Amino acid sequence: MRMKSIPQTEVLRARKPSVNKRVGSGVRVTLGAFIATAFLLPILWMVSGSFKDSQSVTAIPPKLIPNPFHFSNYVDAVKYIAFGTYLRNSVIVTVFTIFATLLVCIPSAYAFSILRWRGKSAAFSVVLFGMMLPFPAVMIPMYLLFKKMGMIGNLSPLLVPPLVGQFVTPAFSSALAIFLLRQFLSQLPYELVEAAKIDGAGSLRILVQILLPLAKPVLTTITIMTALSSWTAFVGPLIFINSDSLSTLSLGLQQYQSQHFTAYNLLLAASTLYVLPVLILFLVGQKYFTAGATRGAVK
Amino acid sequence: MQGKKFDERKQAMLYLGPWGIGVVWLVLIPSFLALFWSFTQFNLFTSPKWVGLENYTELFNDPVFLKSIRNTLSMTLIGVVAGLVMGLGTAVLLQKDTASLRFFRSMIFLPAIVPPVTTGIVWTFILNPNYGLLDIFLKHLGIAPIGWLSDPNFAKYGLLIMVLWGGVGQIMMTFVASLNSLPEEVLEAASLDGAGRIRTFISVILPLMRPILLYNVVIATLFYLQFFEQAFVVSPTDLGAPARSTLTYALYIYQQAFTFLKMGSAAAMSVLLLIVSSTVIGIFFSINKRLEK
Amino acid sequence: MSKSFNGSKNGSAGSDRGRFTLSFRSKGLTASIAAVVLLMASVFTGSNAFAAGKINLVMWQQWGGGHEEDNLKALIASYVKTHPNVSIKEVPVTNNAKILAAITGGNAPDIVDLGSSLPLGGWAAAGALVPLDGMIKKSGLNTNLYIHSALTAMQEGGKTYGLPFQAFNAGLLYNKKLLAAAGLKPPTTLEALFADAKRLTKKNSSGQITQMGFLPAYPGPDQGQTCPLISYGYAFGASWFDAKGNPTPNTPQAVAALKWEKSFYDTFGVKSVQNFVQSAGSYLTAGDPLESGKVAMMFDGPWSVQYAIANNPKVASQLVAMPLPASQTSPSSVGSTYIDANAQVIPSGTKNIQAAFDFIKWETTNGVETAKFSQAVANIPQLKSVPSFALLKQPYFATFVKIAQGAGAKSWIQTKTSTTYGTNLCAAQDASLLTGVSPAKALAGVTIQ
Repeated sequence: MRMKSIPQTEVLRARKPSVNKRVGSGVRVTLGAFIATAFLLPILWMVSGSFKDSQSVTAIPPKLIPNPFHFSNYVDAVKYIAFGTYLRNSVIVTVFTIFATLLVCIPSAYAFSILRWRGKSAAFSVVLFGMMLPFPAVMIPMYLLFKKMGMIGNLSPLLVPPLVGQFVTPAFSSALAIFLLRQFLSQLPYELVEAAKIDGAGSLRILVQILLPLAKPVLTTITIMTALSSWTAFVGPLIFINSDSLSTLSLGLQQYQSQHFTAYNLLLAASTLYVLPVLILFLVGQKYFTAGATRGAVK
Repeated sequence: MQGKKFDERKQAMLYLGPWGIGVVWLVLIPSFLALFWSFTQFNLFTSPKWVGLENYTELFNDPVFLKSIRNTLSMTLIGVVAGLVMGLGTAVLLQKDTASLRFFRSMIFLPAIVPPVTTGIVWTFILNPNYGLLDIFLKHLGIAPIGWLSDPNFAKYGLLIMVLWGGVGQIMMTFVASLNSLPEEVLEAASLDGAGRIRTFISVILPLMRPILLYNVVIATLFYLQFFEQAFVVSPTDLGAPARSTLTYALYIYQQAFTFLKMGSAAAMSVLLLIVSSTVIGIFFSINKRLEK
Repeated sequence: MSKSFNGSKNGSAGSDRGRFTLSFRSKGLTASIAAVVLLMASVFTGSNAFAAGKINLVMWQQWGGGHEEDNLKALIASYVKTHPNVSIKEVPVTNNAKILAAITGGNAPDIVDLGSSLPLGGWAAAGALVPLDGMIKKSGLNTNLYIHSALTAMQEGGKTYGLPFQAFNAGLLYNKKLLAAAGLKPPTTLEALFADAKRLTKKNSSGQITQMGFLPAYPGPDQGQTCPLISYGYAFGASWFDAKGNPTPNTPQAVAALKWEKSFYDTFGVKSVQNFVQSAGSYLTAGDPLESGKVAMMFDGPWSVQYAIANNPKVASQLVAMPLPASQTSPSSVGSTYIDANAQVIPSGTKNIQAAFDFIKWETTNGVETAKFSQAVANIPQLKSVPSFALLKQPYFATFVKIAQGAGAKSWIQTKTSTTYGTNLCAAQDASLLTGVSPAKALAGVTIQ
């Protein structure tokens, strides 16, 4: 009996992977190409529209390749609204948000995972509560709180919340960042920390020199997600920023739409310019991100 | 020993300082304010006037309120399931770490960088029933054109398509990470048992992925329950168009506060949303706990 | 700005003992911080360089960007030339919630140029706007200069909260070529209009509408315009308010009006009509339903024709304007239309109230500038008399001016709940037209708390 089954299993093992590899990879690549193209099409349409003149953007039927290419759209788009101002504001807010979020969420996640103290899980449930809090529920109280403190009228409603660990957008938030990093750190073997403690290392050194390097993938994820969601944030600037000179580009894009007319081609050109920085950031960090970035944080 | 623990507590307090300030100032205080205001009525210029439970009873008799709930619930249900299925499907399909598959994964993630205003504009064209790419494609499959954004029966799903386009990539990434981190031995043991690919998947892989599945379900549910941005951007001058079929719960909160000038009602809606969100998440967690056993 | 995510040296202790370093970002960190600080400095110093000694006014306007903004800029330039102690900065702000939030936050602009008076009732009643009667009297402004209905649209609770600028209304636009091709003369009643529309609507072999006889609910709020049901109500003899100013959404005449509007959707099919609208280009472009010559009759304003002339002169030459016919049940209601104006309002709590008022008084009573602006945007002058301008000689535009001055042009009554009323009324229209709710039920359900 045994003699028979072992060779059988070996044949199975020998055959299965290679069959899978042959059939699998061909199908995978084809299907994958198809799906990826479907996802990419709207972006291609956006870029294609950015080179069309205002009449042919909305022409029926739609053509993918513009003819001729109106590179001037990009120049006009930048002149149509206060593009430079809005871009500057978006950059300030996003860069600051990234740094502030990392600065606050890393120690917080550390405190919620590695450090041991009474009341830790109760306090962590407040983080979870923060994740569940719908922004529309608190945006008006927040507005009035900001107003009382004289923060309405400058950029602080967008800068201060990340600094106190309360950056919130639909797709991502400080609470989520803390959550992800805390999950990851909790999975690490405590012996690492103990060994370092025996070596005489203080908490800060443990965090910075031992734990953070291991957490690179999670940190990259958090950085990219914070950058992405801050760059495209819409509702926060909409409600909290009153001064036009402090508006972000995400909001500014609306100004290509007026009561009776939308400069579609210019809007698409501005949008293409708008996604460029994040695209570059993503391509740079892609290596960490695609190959299992949230590994460990997901266990 | 005692000293060390006390030290760690002090350190924790120090590290959590900024977050602590933030949580009290921007989470706890606004939550209590919203709760208090839900029992008052006022607009941004007048002072809150106590009205007890009047806002709540008024809401439950308000057909628009009920409609916003129906809209949001159906979008949540379909959005969460669709996102999971598509995210998991693409992850399984493209999980191998070859250059081409990595490239495809990046392309699927890419839509996340497009801002809401642009997404709205671009998809308004693609979803057009006469010349939009989607309906042209459906026509080849023999399906009659659907007014994705103009037909009250379908506008929600047009919005969902926009959201899924931007969100599936992120879900997919988490699943890819999870799949790639599954222990080899378990998979081998399963194939030794002679289990087919699909059975392996259902009875071995999925249970191992439960934490990440739970994570995605929770995050997606919270997202849809608060859904605002894309719904707003698509028709800012006529919220919920067409015929309030895309009026999400959060959009109605906004309309109550800023168009109808009823902050008390907006606050009451916010409180209800918070209760529902926490209940739903609580249910997910307890289901998860039960499955763990 | 350099940010380096370079790979870290391994995290073990060693050379960095005692120093706090983020090993994988140290180089880029200081450089980035410096750059950000520089950028932030530019925010707080450079941006709002107001000249000293001048009164600096900020105006939020809802004309938007593009050439309409250019007209406004020219108008402001004229004012500033004769009033050198004032500088005015205009900013396009289309979102009303943002304006409201700014007023509560105490950061409101000095002037808001509202695209319509719809929010005025609620805002005025809430105390968000400065009442202008005192300043009107003191400055000797004669409100009789304005078209009466344009002025009443700016009043709530007996007080004036805005000055009207550039009035607008709608009338029946029809394509004479399409009517002639069907052997039809322009309809004299709304019922005849429906009958004509049936003959003027063509479908192709797959059941898609290729030509629409009459498109009742377009343009609407989706295109930034007023809800057409309001005007159709007037045409059926409905008055949306009773004598005391209370909302009356479901009078028999109102129900009849909505029934009439719905009959187009029922006859031609809701899906087909919606698809037809979607098949056309966006409003006021060469591809839109009217400008592409695919609609025989439409209820819209003079700017529609003006855009057509610019985008598609051939079709524009076929367009004729006439007062909206009345229902045969209410023959005296010929020429019914809503009438509204761009409300120039002053938010509460701003500092430069008098200077703001001086500007809007000048803006709305200066005949030359008003005429120039009307010429540019094809709106009706808010003044009863202005120097003649070229558009007045165009038959279509002259017709609209006559309609505006006629008895059929009615303005919305501004009250604490008039904004809610207007919004919910339009929602009821949509519910009935698009989701099959009966007109009586839809209108009975209009809540106005």
